[in-house]
Amino acid sequence: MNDAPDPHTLVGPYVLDALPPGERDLFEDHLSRCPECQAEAAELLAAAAHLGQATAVVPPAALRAQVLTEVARTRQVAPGRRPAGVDGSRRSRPWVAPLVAAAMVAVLAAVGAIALQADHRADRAEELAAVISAPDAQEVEVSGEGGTMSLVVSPSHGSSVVVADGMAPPPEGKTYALWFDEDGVMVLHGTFAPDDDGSVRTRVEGVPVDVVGVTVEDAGTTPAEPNLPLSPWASSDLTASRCQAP
Amino acid sequence: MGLARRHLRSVPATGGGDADELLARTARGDAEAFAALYDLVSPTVVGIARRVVRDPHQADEVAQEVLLEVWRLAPTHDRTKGSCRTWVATIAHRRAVDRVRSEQAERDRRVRDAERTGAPDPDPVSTPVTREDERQEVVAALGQLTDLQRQTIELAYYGGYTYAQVADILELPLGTVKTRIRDGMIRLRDALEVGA
Repeated sequence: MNDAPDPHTLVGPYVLDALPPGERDLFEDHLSRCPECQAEAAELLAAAAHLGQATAVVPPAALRAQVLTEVARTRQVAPGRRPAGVDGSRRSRPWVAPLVAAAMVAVLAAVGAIALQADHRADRAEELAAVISAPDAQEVEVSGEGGTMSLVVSPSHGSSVVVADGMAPPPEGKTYALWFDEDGVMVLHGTFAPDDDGSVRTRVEGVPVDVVGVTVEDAGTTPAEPNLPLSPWASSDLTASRCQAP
Repeated sequence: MGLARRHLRSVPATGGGDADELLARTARGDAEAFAALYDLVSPTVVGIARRVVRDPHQADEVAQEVLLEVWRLAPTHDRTKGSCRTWVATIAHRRAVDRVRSEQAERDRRVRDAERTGAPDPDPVSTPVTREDERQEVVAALGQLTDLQRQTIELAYYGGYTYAQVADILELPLGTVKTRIRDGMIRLRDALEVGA
């Protein structure tokens, strides 16, 4: 049930500093317990360092004196400590780990095509980028018998982006609908359909705090409740307090 | 080339033995050793900061912070976990990336400019000092990757993008980007024959 993303796969982005802070913390937690990943990370960090060395340039002449002057009045850290800031640069976002770790499951019952909201394409791309690149953005995988999609969730933006590839179109006259469980009630947060390539990039208002569900609904309507059955839905163990916007 | 050539003498091969030794002495509070270490690693620190941060003024601020961190944290460096050069490059890259991500405006600009700025263009105001054979080695190693592996790695490392941003720029699923980066880094490691 708990389909948390395999932390081993995060080692690549980790060594390139390409994880957002929440996932970085999550991976470093994992790293401290996984000798295999420690060995791999050490080797890949050495390879990444070569990418850095290839950029070497002549430092500005004044820099040397500035640094050495600062050094003369700067205390060193005692051995054995691992200060926050470098190496472990941990930023605390306590709600993130459970959010990422939790797997949300939904059935993607496949059926026919419907239009996305008629967003202006450029605006839409910019909005998507803003949510996806937010410092607190986290990916939550949503998987079921119909396939896997993910939600990139940004509490600071108060919105989420549905991301899927290779998704079958809904049946003629139907659309996919995204529901979030809010205090036990399923609330509609948007509809979406894949483009001709089967790809979905749709922003919806709100961030999930509990179960996420996907249903197939009549296109052009605003259903008040999900078109059941949705099973098998699996609830995650998210709670509102863990995942509230900061 | 004149300027670069003059500085080439002060930039040693990447063997790194000297740097490790100097770091060990720095860890014991030896400021003279640190000054020598500065000469070895500052070109890389400044290079990474300028490539990732881009604005030379901000980049040099980052470089100064990083070099001071190297002094401050030297006693905590664990030699068994990696070489001095890897350690310094890791700190420099992380600091540069932190700087880039710290400003909302900057981030928005970068996302807008993403398509244009993916490739690591040479910085016109900086004089490269990397030894040519060493640079060629990295270029050759990158050439052994698939296009997708190389693009994802360059965007993440030189562009300073998160893998989610990389996925967005290249219009790929997040999972694909994660695995391409990892596979690519493994191939790069093998091509460069680097140990930890």
